[in-house]
Amino acid sequence: MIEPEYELKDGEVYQQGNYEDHGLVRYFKMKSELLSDFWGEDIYLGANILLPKRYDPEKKYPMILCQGHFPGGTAPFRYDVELREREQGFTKYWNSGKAPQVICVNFRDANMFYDDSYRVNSANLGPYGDAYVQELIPAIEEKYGGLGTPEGRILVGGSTGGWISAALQLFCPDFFGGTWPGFADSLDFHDHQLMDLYNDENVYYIQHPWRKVERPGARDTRGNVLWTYREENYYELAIGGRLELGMGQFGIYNAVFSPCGEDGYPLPVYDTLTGEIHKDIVEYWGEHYDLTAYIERNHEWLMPKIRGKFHLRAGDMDNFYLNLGHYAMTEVLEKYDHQGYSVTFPKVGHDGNITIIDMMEEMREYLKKTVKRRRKKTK
Amino acid sequence: MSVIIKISPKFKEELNGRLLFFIDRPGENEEPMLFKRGGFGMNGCPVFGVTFYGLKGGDEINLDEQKKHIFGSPFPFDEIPHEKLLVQAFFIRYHKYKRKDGHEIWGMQDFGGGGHFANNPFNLYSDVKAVKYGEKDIKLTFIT
Repeated sequence: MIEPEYELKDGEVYQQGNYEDHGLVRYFKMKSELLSDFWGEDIYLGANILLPKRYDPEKKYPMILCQGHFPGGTAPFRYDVELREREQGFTKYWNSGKAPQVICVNFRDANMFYDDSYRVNSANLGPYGDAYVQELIPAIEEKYGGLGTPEGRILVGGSTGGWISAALQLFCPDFFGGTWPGFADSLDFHDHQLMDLYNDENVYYIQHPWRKVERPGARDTRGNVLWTYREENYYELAIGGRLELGMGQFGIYNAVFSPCGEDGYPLPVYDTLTGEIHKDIVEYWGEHYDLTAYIERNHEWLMPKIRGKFHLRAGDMDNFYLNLGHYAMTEVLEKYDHQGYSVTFPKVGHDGNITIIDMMEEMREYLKKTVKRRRKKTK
Repeated sequence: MSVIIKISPKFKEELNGRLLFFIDRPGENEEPMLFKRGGFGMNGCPVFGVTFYGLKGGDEINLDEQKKHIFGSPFPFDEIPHEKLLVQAFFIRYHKYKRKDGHEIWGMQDFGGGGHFANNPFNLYSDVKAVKYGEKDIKLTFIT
């Protein structure tokens, strides 16, 4: 049996882990009333908080809200870890006091479907979006001194976190003040990796007059196919028996985006064995979670709220073909003059092609303008 | 030749969840979880899964009798090559969620494992055994 690595102290629960504060890093956990009500039992949300070097508990700070995947005890931007190239030097930079004096936060919300909730309201996962903006963020702001205004809530994340960063800014445009989604999951369901869910018939293969070709699921940056979409799904099926219990990428898509079936499990958007696409479920996905379609449908009232706030990055050779969704959203954002930026990079895979320090400096400049503008307004 | 997985009689609680049988080629890595040796998912070793509800301490599962219910990746259970292999059994324990909407669904409850079965406390795993697959019965045990 996998034994817990520690004994619980009074009042602690194992859910979302327990970690000891150290240096500039704090660990926060709370019971979500909204989610507990949905699930019929206590559901907890956790956050790992990196305080600025010159932190003063009496002051208020903007917060950088980092999205995507269960971090365990790892602090935002892997402060104090730094194994990956793009984070190198970040700890030294942060400790020097020269970094922007902001609070960085990442989140722990593992659930029965995946290591991340995707932080939107969902028929199967429950009101994670509401719990995030109504319960968790305000509680963190209250405890650690967040500005508590949209300008003080900046979103950033890659991949899963890229989708979340885009979705939260779009669905809660009055709550968040800017977003940096990188190499995001399907920003448009015409480009769900390589599938056009609206127009294709089958996710597993492409039908030609005399040939069926298996649809790729991943590639290296030269274009070599690493595995097919069917292979990936069948792996999750082996782990879970049904895709939604495979605790993988395709199970969580069904859990987040699909309606709930009569048996209580998410309705799959395609037949997991054959790959045949269920168009009625695609329609539901499109109405609720296709972010590009959402902008298109709501651009008249939405664009004034998000103008200047989107900073999209992706590699042109994204390993999971997520650059296609990036192009689709960019086209719509540019059509409506979004005034942020959207860039891709040749030969770059599943990566935003920027170091954490450079991105932090970009955010510093952005915050200088937005927070100042807010202060002028409130005066 | 059969693959038999035994649950220690010491388990007092009913066990519900997904039984996974992992295989890999022999190597130098001593990591106690076979499927962590070569990486997860598409980069990891073959896995064969079957779901059980209502297992008890002392039960024995013969995987060959479950063949038609086992789903394998990247190939079916009965295509496991007859060669020198390392084998291990794993059990993802499920919990019944009784949601407010009236639905009752089974899934892995988080105990700080971060949404991954391999890190979630209270899941079960057997020792890794080196075998010549196909020659003799393979016996693996989940212990407390």
